[in-house]
Amino acid sequence: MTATATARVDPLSDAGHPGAWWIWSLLVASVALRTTNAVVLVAVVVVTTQVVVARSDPASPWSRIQRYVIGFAVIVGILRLGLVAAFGPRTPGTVILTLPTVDLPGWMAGLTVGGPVTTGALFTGIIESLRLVALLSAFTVAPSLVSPHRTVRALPDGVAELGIVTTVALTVTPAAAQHVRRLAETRRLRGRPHRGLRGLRGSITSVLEGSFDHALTLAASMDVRGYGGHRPGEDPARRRTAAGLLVAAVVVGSMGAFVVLGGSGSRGVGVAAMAAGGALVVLALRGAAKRSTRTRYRPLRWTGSDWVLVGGGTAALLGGLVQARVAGGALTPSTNPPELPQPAVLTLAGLAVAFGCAAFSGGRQP
Amino acid sequence: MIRFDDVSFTYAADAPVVLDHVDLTIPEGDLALVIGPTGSGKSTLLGAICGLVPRFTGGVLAGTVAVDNVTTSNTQPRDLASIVGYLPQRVDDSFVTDVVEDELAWTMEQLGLPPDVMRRRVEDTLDLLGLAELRGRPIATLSSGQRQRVALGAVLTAQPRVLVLDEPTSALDPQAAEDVLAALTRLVGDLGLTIVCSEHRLERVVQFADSVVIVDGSGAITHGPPDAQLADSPVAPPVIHLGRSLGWDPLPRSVRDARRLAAPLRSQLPPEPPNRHPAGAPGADPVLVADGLAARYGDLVALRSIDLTLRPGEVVALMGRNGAGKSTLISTLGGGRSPDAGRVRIGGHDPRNLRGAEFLRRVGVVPSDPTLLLSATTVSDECADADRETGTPPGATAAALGRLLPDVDPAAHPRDLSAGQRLGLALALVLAHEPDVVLLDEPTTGLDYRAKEALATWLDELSGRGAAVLMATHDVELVAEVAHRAIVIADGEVVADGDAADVVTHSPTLAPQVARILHPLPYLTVDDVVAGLEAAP
Repeated sequence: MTATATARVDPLSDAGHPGAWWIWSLLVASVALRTTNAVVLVAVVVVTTQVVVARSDPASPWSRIQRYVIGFAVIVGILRLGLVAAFGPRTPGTVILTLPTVDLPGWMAGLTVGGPVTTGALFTGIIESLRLVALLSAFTVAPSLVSPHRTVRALPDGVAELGIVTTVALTVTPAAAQHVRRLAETRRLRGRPHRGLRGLRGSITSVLEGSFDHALTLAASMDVRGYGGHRPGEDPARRRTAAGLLVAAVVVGSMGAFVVLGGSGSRGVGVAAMAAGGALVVLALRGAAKRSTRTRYRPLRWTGSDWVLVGGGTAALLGGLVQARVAGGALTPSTNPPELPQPAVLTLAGLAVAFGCAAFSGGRQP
Repeated sequence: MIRFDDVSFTYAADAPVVLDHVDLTIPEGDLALVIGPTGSGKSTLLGAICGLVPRFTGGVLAGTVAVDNVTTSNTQPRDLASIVGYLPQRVDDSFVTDVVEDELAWTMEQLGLPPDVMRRRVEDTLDLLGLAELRGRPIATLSSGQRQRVALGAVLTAQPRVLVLDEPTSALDPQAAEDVLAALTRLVGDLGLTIVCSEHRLERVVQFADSVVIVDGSGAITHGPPDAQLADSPVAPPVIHLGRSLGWDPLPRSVRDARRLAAPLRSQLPPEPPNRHPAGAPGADPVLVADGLAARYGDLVALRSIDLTLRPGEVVALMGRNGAGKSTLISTLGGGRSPDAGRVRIGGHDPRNLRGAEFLRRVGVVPSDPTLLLSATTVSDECADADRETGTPPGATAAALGRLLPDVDPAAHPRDLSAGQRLGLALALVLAHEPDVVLLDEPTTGLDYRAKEALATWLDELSGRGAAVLMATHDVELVAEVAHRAIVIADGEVVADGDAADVVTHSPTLAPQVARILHPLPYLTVDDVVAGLEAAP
């Protein structure tokens, strides 16, 4: 009886394990972090959006997350360009236009308003904005593909202690995407503009209220149904230790990642911190899993296609790393004078492998 | 089993007291029914039992609430989960998984039950609640009544010893409600579960209750046997109203009791009730025409070729079991989704092309989740916005709200209102300016009898002034009260369309209580009976 009960495969497993998608997303995002090559950045955007197109269920509200976030990133990028032009530091380069300068009082020395806008400033601004779009596009692959419920379900037991926080963190964005859609419909019923910017302006508060409401109600529902509850014979002190360990692990690991990816500071220290953080996470989760009394009705399976996904992500990462070692110049072309980006062949090849693995490793999301 | 010791609760220091020094003891194995007007604090009382109030709602709780001798104030709700199962009023946000079967198993997973036990219980619950066909369906594709059953099933599988149910049948069709209640009473009888359940549709539940808790909104509550509690409660089902107006003693609680007492009445009444309201303005041109409407969600066909007309001055009830396509039809008629085939014309226009004031003048829609209509930060702002946008005189919407629910605080945030109050507000926003066509999706969920009465009178007046009303509802008592015509749909097709009285009396599940008591006489409401007696020789 027990054997047949657990042997039934999760009907959704073909769609990929949530964890595999998150790993893929983060690995591809790391490529965008390490380059200012416009060709590579555009390739990241194309790859990540096409994966969502290929694998998402178009009827699900969260499949729109990537679209919304990219739209948001484009708006931010344009604003940023405007700000760079108006307040930016005097970057050397060919002057393409000169804005009228405003004389500021003496105590605001160091800040300039207006003045010449150079190609250097402009190109740096464009590349930075493009990088933001590429990063967010990569980060939103997992949330656009995997239902927030499945993500929460796939969380390791150790995280259950951080119940409400994780639930809200993981479900607010999908809930917002859902609300945007439903609010457009109900605003029409109130005879209000419901499309375009005017519609958006009127509904931002409602969307935020609605999505937080949803996330909190969900957290309450999970709590009242026993999520992360104590079971008889458990030692509360050990639970607290495990939760503390997990938080420490995440902090140490993130600091390490910051040092490594930011390219500042000692790379050795960064890698060591990342490794230590990773080890701590594994330790905390293992301890939690050992204590856990939670059982699984139909366990989410980590299948072959999940390894393919992780492999694809790793290929993208390796492509970037090897490229940096072999011909690093291609990853950071000069912006002054503007230089035509060289095709960073190895990085692009890595991205192509990542795309192939993600787009064809399984069926559409249910 | 459940003990309240001198419990007081307020949401904020300056807010009115919701529970005021309440003492309450519910013994093991009881089915206690919590009743009271809309917004009186029923949900707060229920939330306090499972610990969600005040932990997730904020507010100050004084005194002791104990469940099975566990004090809720020093226990997290998650640690109560093995003792208390809670069904929230709005189930939509409470689902933790995407698929019916997973949802049923989720609580058990958290409690660490062995997989073979989980499988058995999931199968039992699927059968108990008639969900077997839906087991693999994504929850997002279910109708509201089906979702309600899934949520209830998710509570039942964990087999807690106390069930706290906030309006468990409000979204269910009459037959499903009967099935669910029968299942619940069986659990009370067989397993000795304790059930605390709030419900506005008393006619469905009161016969199963062992005791009744009345929350009257002042903070005080009373608890006692159903007969004594209902004898003079303003909140009472039609069978009790009938008993009261005819001076029956003891008051009947079920249709069965009442039928025995009603034998002489049946011979005394004239064969037709004298004051049947006239059915709209015959001969007028239809204001809404739908031809061959079809709608589908992916592979799921929601509507297949529906033809429908609404004439001015007509109140039409749209009935049918959960998942029959009622909400889809309402939404399609209001232009919320474009039909996959067929067309809708309201006053000659496609509703999807109407905008702004033009739309508001012609169509008023209250969707099944009325919260989405609300956007302002206070009730009075919301009403003022509606006045401005619809061009009604200032104050009209607020007055309309007062008519339905006189006790709503105008300074409250719409999201802080109770579910029933939010619905009342949405109804006021949509009805105050009297649009030509009114489309309502379940307009009575969470409304008390008084508010329902006010709504019925109002709809009657609106139709008298030439509005056409279509309301999707499971509330047969409301249909008996106001509807001229009833349309029954099943599986996306119209199966009956005719005089409301005929349609409801000919179906045993759709018949209102009075019709069942007086069957075969075509009387539907207490007022019909009173008028009939006056006209009798």
